[in-house]
Amino acid sequence: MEGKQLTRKEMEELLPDYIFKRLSKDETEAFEQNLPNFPDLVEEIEEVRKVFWKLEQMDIDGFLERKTRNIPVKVSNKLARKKSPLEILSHKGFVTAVAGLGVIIIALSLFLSKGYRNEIKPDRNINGSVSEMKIERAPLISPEIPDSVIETSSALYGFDFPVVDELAYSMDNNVAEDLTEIVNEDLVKLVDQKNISHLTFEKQTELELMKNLDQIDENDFQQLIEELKNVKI
Amino acid sequence: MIELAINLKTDREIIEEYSKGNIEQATNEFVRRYKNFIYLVAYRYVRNYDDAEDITQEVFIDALRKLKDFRQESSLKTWLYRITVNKAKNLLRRRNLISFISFSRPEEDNDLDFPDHTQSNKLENKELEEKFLEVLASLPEKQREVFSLRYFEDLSFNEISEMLGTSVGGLKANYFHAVRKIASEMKKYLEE
Repeated sequence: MEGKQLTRKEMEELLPDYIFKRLSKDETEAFEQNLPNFPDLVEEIEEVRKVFWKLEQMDIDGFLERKTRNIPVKVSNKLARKKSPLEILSHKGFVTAVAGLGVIIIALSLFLSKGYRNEIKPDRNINGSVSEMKIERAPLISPEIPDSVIETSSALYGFDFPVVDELAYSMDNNVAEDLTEIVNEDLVKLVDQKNISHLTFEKQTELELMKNLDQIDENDFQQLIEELKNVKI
Repeated sequence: MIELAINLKTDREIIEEYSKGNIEQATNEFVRRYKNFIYLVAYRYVRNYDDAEDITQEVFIDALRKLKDFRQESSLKTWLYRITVNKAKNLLRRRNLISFISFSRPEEDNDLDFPDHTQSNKLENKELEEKFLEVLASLPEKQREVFSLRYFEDLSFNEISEMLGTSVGGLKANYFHAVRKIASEMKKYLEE
């Protein structure tokens, strides 16, 4: 490269590396030999050197080392987490699916508990004994819901006595009694605390009946149960 | 050339060790070697330290997943540079979209706390560094990248050419213009 005549473009392309001392020996000699032909570049080299001398004082490497010192640990931790067999539990798709299923189950439970439970409707025109009371099954609005689901829902809600009985017999007697007690207590509290004037007549009767059940004498209650055996369903 | 050969061999060793199942050692060496490089590339694009760190971690996670399949058609540095730039640009695109939707400007980290040698000139150096990075960020992408890769990373023009997909001649011209602009802007700032 020595002795070679460099164009302005070639000089400009070599200029930064000349300033930062990254040219080879041959390139440096060629650049310096041609430099007198470009006095404006000589001036520019001085200006650039002054500015970059200041910038060279920055400890960029030290700064970067401090900024990135925790990255190896963080990367290792992330990789370790990704290898865990529980990875699927933290997968976005899995979480979304579980959350969606949960919402559907809750919505279905609420819907069934409000719209598909059986109701006891006393006949307002009855003047006779309780044996003339009839229990009507609420009409099903959605035929595609299987009966088993409706029965289970009704049983859980506590108004379909035969199913409740079946469930009660299938579990420990003490547990069944405790559950019945808790449900009754809650219903009584509900009736006591809430203003029920806005409810329909049927609802009010239903709640009043549940409230009064707690206050009925044991003998009367047993008699009522005997009477209910004659009720036509 | 000797240095390049040693580097190439060492990169290959990392890949081989990783492929053999000596994952922990290979990962540590891989991350230790390239963390500063990736961090600085990411920072030049996103101009935010937290984002730069997040991108750096993501780049390593992605790269380590694919390291066994890395065919060494380019250097590891070039490969990592491309992954980093892609991730940084994706982040900026997402930020711009959010900014457009929310009618607010994306957050920029102005906490440019480059360290100082002495406490007495801390403020002066901090301002100088802030200004330098501001000027650097204001350059056209090609000029900014060729300057950074040459000045900070000391890469050859051939390596930079492979990374940026630009001819060596074009890179040299960009490098010259970047240095000239930085010097001009910084001179104005220093004379104020």
